[in-house]
Amino acid sequence: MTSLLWIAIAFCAFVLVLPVWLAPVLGSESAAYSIHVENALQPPSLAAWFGTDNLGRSQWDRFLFGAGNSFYNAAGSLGIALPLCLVMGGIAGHKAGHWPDKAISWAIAMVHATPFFLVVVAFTAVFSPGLESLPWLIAAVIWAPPARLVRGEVIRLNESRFVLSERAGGLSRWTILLASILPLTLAPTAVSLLYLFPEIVGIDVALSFFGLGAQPPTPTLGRLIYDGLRRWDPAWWLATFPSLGLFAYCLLLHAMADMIGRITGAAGK
Amino acid sequence: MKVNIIKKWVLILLGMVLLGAGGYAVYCGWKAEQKTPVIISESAKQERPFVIAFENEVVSLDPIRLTDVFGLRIASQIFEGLAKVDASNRIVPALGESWQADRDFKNWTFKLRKEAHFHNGKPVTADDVVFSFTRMLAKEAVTKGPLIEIIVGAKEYAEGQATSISGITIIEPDHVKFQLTRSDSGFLGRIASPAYSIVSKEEVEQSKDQFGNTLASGTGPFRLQSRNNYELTLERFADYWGGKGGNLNLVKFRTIKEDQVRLNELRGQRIQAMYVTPPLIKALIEATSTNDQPHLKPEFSQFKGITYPVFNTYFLAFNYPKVNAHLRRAIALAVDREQIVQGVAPQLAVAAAGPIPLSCDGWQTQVQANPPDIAAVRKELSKIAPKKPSFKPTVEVLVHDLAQAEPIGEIIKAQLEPLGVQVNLVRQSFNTVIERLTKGDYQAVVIAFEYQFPTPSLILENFYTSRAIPMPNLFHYSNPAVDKSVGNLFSKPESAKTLRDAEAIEKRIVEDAPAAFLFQMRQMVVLTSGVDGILFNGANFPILWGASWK
Amino acid sequence: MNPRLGYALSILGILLRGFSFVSGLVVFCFALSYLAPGDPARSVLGPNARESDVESLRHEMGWDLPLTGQLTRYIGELAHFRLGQSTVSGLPVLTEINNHFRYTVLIGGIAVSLSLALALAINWLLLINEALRPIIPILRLGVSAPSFLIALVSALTSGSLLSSWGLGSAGAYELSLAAMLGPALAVTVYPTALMTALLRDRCIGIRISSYCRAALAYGYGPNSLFWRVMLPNSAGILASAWINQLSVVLFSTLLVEQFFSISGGGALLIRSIQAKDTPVITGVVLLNGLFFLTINAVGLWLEKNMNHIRRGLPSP
Repeated sequence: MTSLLWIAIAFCAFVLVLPVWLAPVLGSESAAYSIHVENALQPPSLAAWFGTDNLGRSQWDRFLFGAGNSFYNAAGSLGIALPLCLVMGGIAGHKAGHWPDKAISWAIAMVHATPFFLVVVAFTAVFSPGLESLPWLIAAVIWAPPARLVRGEVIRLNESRFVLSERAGGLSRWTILLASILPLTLAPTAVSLLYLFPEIVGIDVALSFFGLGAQPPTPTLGRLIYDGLRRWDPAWWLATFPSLGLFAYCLLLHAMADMIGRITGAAGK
Repeated sequence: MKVNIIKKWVLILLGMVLLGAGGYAVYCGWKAEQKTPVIISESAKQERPFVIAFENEVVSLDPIRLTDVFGLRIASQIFEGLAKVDASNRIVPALGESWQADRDFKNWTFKLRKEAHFHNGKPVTADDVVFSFTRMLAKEAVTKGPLIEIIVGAKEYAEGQATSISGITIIEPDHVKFQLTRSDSGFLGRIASPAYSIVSKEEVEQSKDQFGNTLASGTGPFRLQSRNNYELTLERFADYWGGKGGNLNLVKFRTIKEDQVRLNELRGQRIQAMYVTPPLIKALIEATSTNDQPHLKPEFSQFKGITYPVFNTYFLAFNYPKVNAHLRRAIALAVDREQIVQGVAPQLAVAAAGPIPLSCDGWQTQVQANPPDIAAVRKELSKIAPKKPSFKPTVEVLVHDLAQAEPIGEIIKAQLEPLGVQVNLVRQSFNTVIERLTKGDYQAVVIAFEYQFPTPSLILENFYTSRAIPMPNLFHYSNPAVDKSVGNLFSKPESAKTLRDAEAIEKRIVEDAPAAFLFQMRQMVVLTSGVDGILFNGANFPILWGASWK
Repeated sequence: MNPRLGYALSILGILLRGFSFVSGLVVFCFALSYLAPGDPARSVLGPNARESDVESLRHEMGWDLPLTGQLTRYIGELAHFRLGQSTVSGLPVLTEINNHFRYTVLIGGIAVSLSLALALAINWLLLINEALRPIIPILRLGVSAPSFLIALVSALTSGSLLSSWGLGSAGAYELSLAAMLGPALAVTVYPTALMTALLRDRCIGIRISSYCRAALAYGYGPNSLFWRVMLPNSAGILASAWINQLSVVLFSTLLVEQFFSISGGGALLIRSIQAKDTPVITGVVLLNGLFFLTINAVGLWLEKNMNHIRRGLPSP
């Protein structure tokens, strides 16, 4: 089961970053950035599959590279958030009822209760705005719910028979945590983070309210959707194709998350 | 089993009926939008609100707190100053029925209009004028800047060294005299903005913090009836000194931030007027329209589109002391203004290489918006680092969410990079950009000015002299010769000669290249065809007094 | 120990923990606001104000003090139950919050109530009529898709449809159920899909349980099964999910408000952060913290007291 699980996780990671590799293959970076104002806001046609935007740029190419940027960004956020969740949740669960647990639970509640917009704007004062700092910003916000989940799992597993027998065998509590308990929490944590993926793209939209996020002219899915909705009439295609693409990708991710869930569920029996 | 089948069919039929009803309701709703003109009775016309949609909310209407053009547009209906700008961009009497200036333009005496009253019915007195101008120099007043050095005693008062402004005196019950620190033939233009409106001393003192929020009493043709989070309602002031005017009795200024929502409201005729932003141009007007004659699409047949020139300029500003002079000139020569106009607002924008609005009365600019001169560009670039021929200069350009800054920045980047200038676009919120501008912490920024001053001399003095550093002279541009020339403009009466002098100053400024001036935008407004007589001035204020329902 | 004393001490403990959480939150957000770029003095006086006037206002209001100095001043005001005034409008903070957040509360309230009602209705319909199974993939889509996207697309659709009927959306901004229906519909799609899916999973699990088989043997019909067996045994998880959705709904509401141009809590928060209006930011955070504590406590109580299986069956 373990090897199957790792294969599943590796496959998910591959699918997550696939658009980054596919973009230069299926599209052209120069077409995504070249401005032709005489072709502004053209509807979809054979020459421009997804139409053109207000500066005459090919929406097909901007969609491909935008998807690549967004998913790369999201994958980066998940990659940063995952170890953070495991560490924080693991310590909190391991020391349940003591001050490390209380401190970490307090931090989790703080993240939930703080207005996200405020964190974003303050963050950009410390780090320069741009695609490079975005994964860190998003990871700083999304780690909280899965960390709570990890904490719960660690508390539950701490009372399980195999842990008790390992303890009786003389292994230290920290060794048991690192070698036995945390690996078992990896799958549900990964699944939980995968379910957050669509919200990560949504954060890009929220950043647009403050003029933050990816710097122009770099496209991202969230930005394409937001700008497209604002030009819905007369250019319905600007928001439609990125939205459909995002829908389809989210469905795929949910299916993968379900698959991982089924694998771990099957192993539990 | 039989019961289950019956239940199933009942549910299916119910579902079909509901879907049908829903579809019919949508159809009815759609048909309702294709309204035909309704004949409205005279009395109903009087009470029918005229709704104008804006994209920003207005926080305070207090003239001394007005920092944005939307607030000024509404305030111009409620408040008046001693003078104002009419639809022809001329300065005309308002509460100052007449005025006299001495030969050197250092002393101005205003005779107050006897028939002018505040909305509470009290007449306008000289005490109110003195009170209003004193208030304009209060700590929290945004109106201080242009006044503080021009009126005798204003600086001492603002710094707390005096309890009143010595340069403003009441010489008769209806005559107020202003003593200036220097010759200023443009003094009228300075105080013609709604920001320099006269308010009732008694009302302000009684209402305290509420003035400008729930209470806004002036002398203008409309009074504030009510306001909430999203809408201000004005009603016609029956005792306005200007006479009866039209029959537009109720005007609502409604905040609708999203362009698409405003468009939808217009389509459904739930608003009667809307200022058009560039992203909505293609949704509203046919491709065959010209700058002067916008043809609206058939779905907007109940409306008419009008365009008029506005005092503004869109430009790429440089941090003058920090950015290399050759680089500045190269960029100013390299930008293709026509391409920018086509990309941003093809039916509204006009390419312009100078900062003064082309629509200023009598203005004949000496600066032409020529196509890019690549040879001249390369020559300037080669002078930046003559010992390193392969050197590629880099410039960081700030963009933000207003004034189409982002698409302009993207087009400029695409134009400059093939010529060897690396452009890094940095997008930040507008407030952050302003903070960086005031600190001088930037290299270049895409921004626009909307001028409230109606004359070129006032625009030059308030935006392009070193006195205005850091704001609004955000370029930190300083040229002593320009400062001196601009100062000389105010020692003579405004005439064709001063205009020619101002044109020469503009040319000098463009040669110094504190900015690459790009274009000027005409304003388009969509109005219901059921109303006539609405005018607009160059400061983009609607003049609603003479408007009537047909 | 005296039970009453123990009870009182536990209440005190809860209050102290809540107080420490809220005060920590306020300090944290005050610090974030301090770090955020922007100059409140420049925001008040406008971009054209003279630098000397801006400095003078900054000094008078204490905005040139270091973080600790400003925080001390603010805590001093809070100790006197004063939340201060907005630097943008000059109005008291509570007035600003009341003026704006009532729209948010109404939209959120309609949305979460609708989502619960729809979740119950859809699951009941699915139980009594298997022909409606094609709904399930649509639900899946609703859960999978980003909540923000569903909210924005729903806003666009419902705005067009409902405003042509004169209901809600951007046609009217009054604080009424009808006026806020459009924005609420936009927000309710995701929580409805999520709670419907949760309830369905739970019902399927109960369906195959032994006590459910016993109920069927007793003669329970689909209606009785749903309302008297499945729903009581799902109440806990449904209530917890409903409570958890409140914060998701709040975020979606802030986005939808922008799109419908409703001057609600989202607009206030965005304006305050952009203008660095610290009194309003900390006021909103304070009230948000209290709200969060409340829903957290309610959620925990629900989990503890309602999440059990009721195996006893009333007579059919």
